[in-house]
This record gives sequence, C-alpha cells and structure tokens, in this order.
Amino acid sequence: MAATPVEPPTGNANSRRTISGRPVKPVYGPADLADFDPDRALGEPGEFPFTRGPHREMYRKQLWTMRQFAGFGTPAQTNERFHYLLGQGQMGLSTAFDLPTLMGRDSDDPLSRGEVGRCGVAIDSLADFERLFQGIDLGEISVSMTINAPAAVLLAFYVALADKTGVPRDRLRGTCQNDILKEFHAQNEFVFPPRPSLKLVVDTIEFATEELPQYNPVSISGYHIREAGSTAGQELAFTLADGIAYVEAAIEAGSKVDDFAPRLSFFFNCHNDFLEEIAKYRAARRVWAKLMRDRFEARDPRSHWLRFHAQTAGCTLWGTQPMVNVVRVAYQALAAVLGGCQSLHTNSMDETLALPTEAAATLALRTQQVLAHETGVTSTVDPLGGSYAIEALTNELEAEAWDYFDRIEQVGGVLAATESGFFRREIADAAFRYSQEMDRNEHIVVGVNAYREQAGTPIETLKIDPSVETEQIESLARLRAERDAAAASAALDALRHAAAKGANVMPALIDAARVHCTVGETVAALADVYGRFDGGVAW
Amino acid sequence: MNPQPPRILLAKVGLDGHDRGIKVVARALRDAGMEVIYTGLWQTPESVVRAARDEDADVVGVSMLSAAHMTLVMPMLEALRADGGPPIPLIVGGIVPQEDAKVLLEHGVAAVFAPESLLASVTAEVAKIAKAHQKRAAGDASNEPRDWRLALSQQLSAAERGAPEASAANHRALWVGVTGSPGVGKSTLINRLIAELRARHLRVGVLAVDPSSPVTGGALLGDRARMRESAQDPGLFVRSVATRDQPGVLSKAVPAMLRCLDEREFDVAIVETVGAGQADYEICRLTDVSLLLLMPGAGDELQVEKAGVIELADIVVINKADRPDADTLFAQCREALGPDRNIVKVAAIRNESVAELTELILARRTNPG
Repeated sequence: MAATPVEPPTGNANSRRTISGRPVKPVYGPADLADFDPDRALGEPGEFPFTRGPHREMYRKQLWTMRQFAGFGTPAQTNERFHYLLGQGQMGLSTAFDLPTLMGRDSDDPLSRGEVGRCGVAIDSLADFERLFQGIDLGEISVSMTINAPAAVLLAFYVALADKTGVPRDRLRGTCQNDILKEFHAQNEFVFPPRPSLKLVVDTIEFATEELPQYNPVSISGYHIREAGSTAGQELAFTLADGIAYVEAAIEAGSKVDDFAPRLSFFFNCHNDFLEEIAKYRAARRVWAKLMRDRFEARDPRSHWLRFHAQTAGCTLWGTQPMVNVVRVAYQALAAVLGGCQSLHTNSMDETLALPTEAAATLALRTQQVLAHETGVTSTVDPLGGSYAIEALTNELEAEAWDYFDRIEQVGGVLAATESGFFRREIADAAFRYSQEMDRNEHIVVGVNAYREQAGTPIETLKIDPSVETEQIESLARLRAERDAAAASAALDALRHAAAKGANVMPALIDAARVHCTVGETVAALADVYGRFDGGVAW
Repeated sequence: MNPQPPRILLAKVGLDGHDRGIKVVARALRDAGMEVIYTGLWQTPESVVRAARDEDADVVGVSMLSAAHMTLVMPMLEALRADGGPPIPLIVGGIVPQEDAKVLLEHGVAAVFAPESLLASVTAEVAKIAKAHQKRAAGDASNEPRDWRLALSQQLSAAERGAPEASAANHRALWVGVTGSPGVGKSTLINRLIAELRARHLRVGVLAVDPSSPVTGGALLGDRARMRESAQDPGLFVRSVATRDQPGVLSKAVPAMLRCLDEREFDVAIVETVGAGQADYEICRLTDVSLLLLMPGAGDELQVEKAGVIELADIVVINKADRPDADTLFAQCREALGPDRNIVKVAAIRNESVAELTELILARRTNPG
C-alpha cells in the first residue's frame, strides 16, 4: 500500500470549532459553570432530570442492546442474515426495508424499477413477513423496523404475524421508527401530506398503548436530520420538537400523557465530534425531562426519561481508504456509550459503498463487543459527568434547543414550520456551509482532503443479484392470483371507510394484512382518502 | 444577443430521497453563475429526459444513492441520444462504485462525482461540460429539431437570449399571471390549475420565473418540482425562467416567450412570477387574467390596505383557506376592494375550490375554442 501523506493539512481550525461550527475554548473551568447546581442540572442517574442516564446502574446492570440494522434481497436472504447475526451474539433484530417498501410501493410498481431488494429487504405482503421471520420467536426477540410513511401498515403485518403464530400481542417487544415528521424535514420518505401522516402516527401510538404494552410505537429520530447536514444543535432541537408535536397530537386525540409517554423512544446520530456528541445526548435527556414534567405535566417518572438508540453517522464514512471507517465508527460508538445510549448500531466500514458484507457487519458488531467487554467504560455511570467541558457543552446545547423551540413557535408550531419548509431550509443551509468549509480545508478528513493515497485500496462489497427483482415480482404475481380477491378488495374498502370517518385505522389494517392485501394496495387505499404529498418546498 | 448562462437540470431519479448532496451541488452551481433547474424527487428516466429537453438544458445531472444507477442511467443515455442533435451531456453523482463508474463513463456519461468530490472541482467540471455542449449545439443549429417540443424549447431560448420587443396585442392563448409573496403557494396552485385545465382538454404552457443573482448571474429554479402530476402529458409544457439582468419579478423576455407559446397554439399560458411585493404589478398589465395570491397568518393582512398590485389583480385568491383566520382575511379584502372584485378562497394543497377558480379564469377568455 502506498501510504504517503499527499497533502498535509493546513491550519488547525478543527481544534477551535466543533464540526457543527460551535466555538470551543482551549480550557474550561469553574467560571464556565458559574450557576451550576449539580442537584438541579444532573441529579442522580435514574432520577430527574435524567442528565446522567435513565437508569440508576446503567450498563452495570444491563448493557445496551447491540442491534445491527440488516436487510437485503428477498425475505429468505434476510432471514438467513438474521439467524447469522443472532448466532454471533447480537441481542435484537433491526429490519432494513428496500426503498419500494419504504415508499409504500409494491415490487412491480413502475417506480420500483431497479430498487427491489437493493437497500433492504423487499416486502410486499404478509406472506413475505412470514418468510422474513421464519424460525424467530417474536415473543422472545425484540425486533425494530425502520419504516415511516407505511409504518402503520408494516406494524399491522407484524401484529397479524404474531396473531397467526400464536404469540400474544402483549409479549411483542421492539420498535417501529414511525417518525414521519423527520421525513418531511430530512429524508423525504413521505407519502401522505403532513397532517394525515401525523394522524397515522397517533393511531399507532393509541393502538400500542392499548394492545402492545412492551412495544415502542415510535422512535423519534434525529439521525436522518443530522445525515441531511444539520448541526448537532439542530439535530437535538428538531428531534425534540418533533417529539413535542407527537405528544401534543396524541393528547389532542384523547390519550393521557402518562399512558403513552413511557413508550416513546428516540434515535440519535453519533457523529465525529466526540465531546459535542456526548453533551448532545445528556442535554437531550435533560430537556425532554423538563418538557414532559413542566409542559405536559407528566407524573410518571418513566414519562420523563428519554431512552435512545444511536447509530454511528453514515455520512462520516468515505469510500476512499474504507478501512479507516472502522476507526471512525469505534470512536463514534464510544461517544454513544459515554452518552448513555440504550441500543446501538455500529456502521460497517463498507456502508458508504454498498450494503455491508457479512464480514464487515461482523467486524462492526465486534467493535461494540470490545467496547462493552474490554474497555471498562461500562463500569461507571456517566463517567464524564462533572467535567467542566462536558457540562458547559451540555448547557450550551440545551440553550440552543430552547431557542429553536421559541423560533418554531413563532412560525406557528412544528406542523406549520414543516409545511413552510423551515426545517428543510435550516438543514440545507447548514449542509451547504459545511461543504464549503470542507472545500476550504477548514475540516480535515483523513483520506479525503488530507493524507490521501495515490492508489485506492478497494475492498470486497456485497452485490445484490438482479434476479431478486424478478423473483420478488413473480412471487407477488402468484400471491395476487392465489389469494381471495373479494376478501382483499372488501378489506381495502373497509380501510378507506375507516380512514374517511377518522377512526383509528389499525384494526382495518390488520384485517387487510390477514387477507394478503399488499403494501402498495394498502397505502394506495389510504392515499385515496389522505391524498399524496408532492414534496413541498425544496429549499 | 445576451450570453446565456449554463443551464443545468438536476434531478433525483427513482425512489431514493437522499437530497443533501444534490441540493449542496445546486447551490454551488448557482453561486458559480449557472441557472440550476431542480426537478425534485421521484423522477423517472423518461421524465428527466423530457424536462431536460423542455428546459433546453446544457447538462443533466442525476443523483442516486440507492444502488439503482445502472438500471436507471442507461435508458436516459439512450433517450438523450435519440434526439438526433448533439445529446445533452449526462452527469451522475452519489454512491457509484468505481467499477460501475467505469462502465457508465464508457457508455457515454460525461462525469461521475463521488461524495468526496470537492465542490470547486464539481462546478469547474460542470461549467466545462456545459460550455462544450453549448458550442456543439450552436454548431448544429442548421439541423431541424426532431419534434415540436424541441423546436419550441430552442425558440424559447432564442427569445431569452435576444429578448426582442414583443407586444401583447392579438394573442390567441389566454395569458394568466400568478403572483404573490414567497411561500404563498403559487406553484402548488398552478399544479392544480394545470390538472383542471387539462381535464378540459386545454393545452397549457407555463413559464415559471425565479430570480437571478445580481452578483453571480446564477439562479435556482425550483418551481418545476411542484408541477409533477402531469409530467408525461403531451398537452403540457413547463419552462423555468431566470430573471437574468432584469430587476423585478419578470424576465424581460417573458412577453416574447409568451409569443412563442402562442405560436404553438397553446390554449392557456400561465406565468408564475418571482415572489412579489405590492409594487410588482407589471404582470397585471401583461396578462389577460392576473391572480394575486394571499394567505392567512403571513402578514398579508397588512398588504390589503396598501396601494399596488392588489388594485390591479383581476382575481384575489386567498390560499390555504383551511387555516384559521382565512375568513378574516377574506372579510378584510372584501371591505377594502368592494363588492365587485373577484375574491376567492381555495386550499390548493387539498384541491379545494380550484375547479371554481378555473371557471372564473376561463370566463375571461374572449376567444374560447
């Protein structure tokens, strides 16, 4: 390997500002924490305001869940990867769906061309779900599903599968991402307009509150906001603002805050700037606790705590010198653990090039296992608590969040701000700023704008067989031919009816799943009532 | 003849919604003095090629991060070549493994950019590719365009470059102007109007005007992104227009461009202005029917009392009528403008009352059929 530093970095701007542009002092001291009252600002771990963690003993009692996102190709192929990962010591499953499924389209939809099974597993109907979870006891293993616009449909599949296999609904554990607001801000996987989209989320929260006591019906996500180019402060503020919107909507629909709030979960990005990231998680817990207690008057302490999944930042991985990504991921994962995450996905080094190979996915899992068992950081709760720098940064991030909440309020609240493109503009501005700074070498990225190698070091990547698309389309055609067409059509009519009268659509969705209505058909039936969203404002 | 800034059409193809990169590149190209037309999400190879032709783009750029690039790029290359003249160069950005990039380049893709490409090198390369294409296309001017859309597209460009004097007298089509503050929903309303007009079998041309930077000459033209419903419709032609060196809300070339639409026998020609203020009433003078869009809760209440475009607009449209305070705004307008003025409430995003508005607009046709 020719490893010569081609262009050594100029300047040391990195040492003066965080990656989000936050000025950083050379030294922090007591003066930076002038009004700091540890009792009020931190409390004990497991106690209000939960800055130090949601649980008293944290990882001494229970490690975070090592939950690697996986899915590709056909349901059978992903099932095989699931069994492999469980065999390697993974503790929960996390399902990646392909783009057609994420967008509520069937594999044979013209817009699905070229995308079936590429970025995740292709799911068209309950039959695919049965194959996906074959040999996995849904009463034992917690399963997370990364899906948003059609989340209610896939959750209905999950419940229908549990019913069919005899797993009681109250034993289902897991999480559905089901956070549609950040799709409008950042990831663009929306189908319906914002308001009916929010109604669907509320339906799933209500349903889970009644039927799935161990299930997290929504994972309020900053991950994608950050990937779209936001700063750490924006990620924190916008995620919690979305959380506020869900709580308000559920309360408005008639739920009591303490009935559903304990099951809300969060999902944050884990980016490069080590101290800022740790401070972000701590600030998130403190702000959420205050919001829940003071604004929403939640009484149950479990409503106050913020539990979160973290994923290392995909946008920090680079295709040049991909092995270096292993190092980035390890540091990011350490920040998530020092920040007190409840579950963690570590990216594979090849994820910027393709879906991970088995070897790369295993190495990513091993990274977490080393962290958990060899580094010793799990022995002490919130070990950085009380550090001048960490506490000062935590305070700053908290202040930034409250400032943003005010600004969002001024433009009419989260929904109005979503519709007017406020979040999108803020994020796009930050992304553009960052790209320009990188162009000017103000951020040094190893192997990209410094320490480049002349010859690339290619690694093996996973190839998805193009026959997956044909195979999936054929099996969908068979399903359509073999199912009870009249029952399917009646179920879709009943669903339209339920949606039109504003009822909770979950029961109708489960009925539709049972008679093998497809994802595309079910979403289209909802779109008949809700309309489709055209994408709104771009900038 | 004025020099034409490079026109770059950027599109997200397929279902992939990752648009961080393409939006950053769009801004960088704008800042480098180019006119950037952004189609928005969920384009098909066919819709991108059509948009590139209608917009007379010098470069088409597509961004893909979902590994569908091989499936989606090849048909675009083929369709671009089918035009006969020098094909519009196609560039690809996103996550494209090296061996795939090699194949794409061999098949005629002009450049492949990776996430680690520096903005400065992307803009320089795109400018070079655009300039080379402009030169080739100019050298090829003797060739008769293959179909009327291409011919119209080139005529519109010529009108933009030359900005000949054109009068509004004796035109065939109904010229409709749509103006209002930024964010009031002009493009979304036009999208709905297009659907209504096409349902009545009327051929519709749209000129969507956005501002050019007075400093760099670059522009971000994003209105197309919201006019997607009828993207494959032969009776619809959408063209994005930058104001270029014209201060105000219209390009100097708009009258001449409307003339071009007229010659192609469009029934209705819609002009969307830059987000406008009260002083921008030129659109009311130019068009047969002018619509001023207002919305509740955005400070438009203050505008009602002021002199300017509100005095001249033929129809005052209160958009987002499902919001609170729409009735108050309506009452304010009624009081200020008197009982005879057309004031209508619509909710464009929900398609409410758009049919009624369409009828009101079409009632202004002096030459129906």
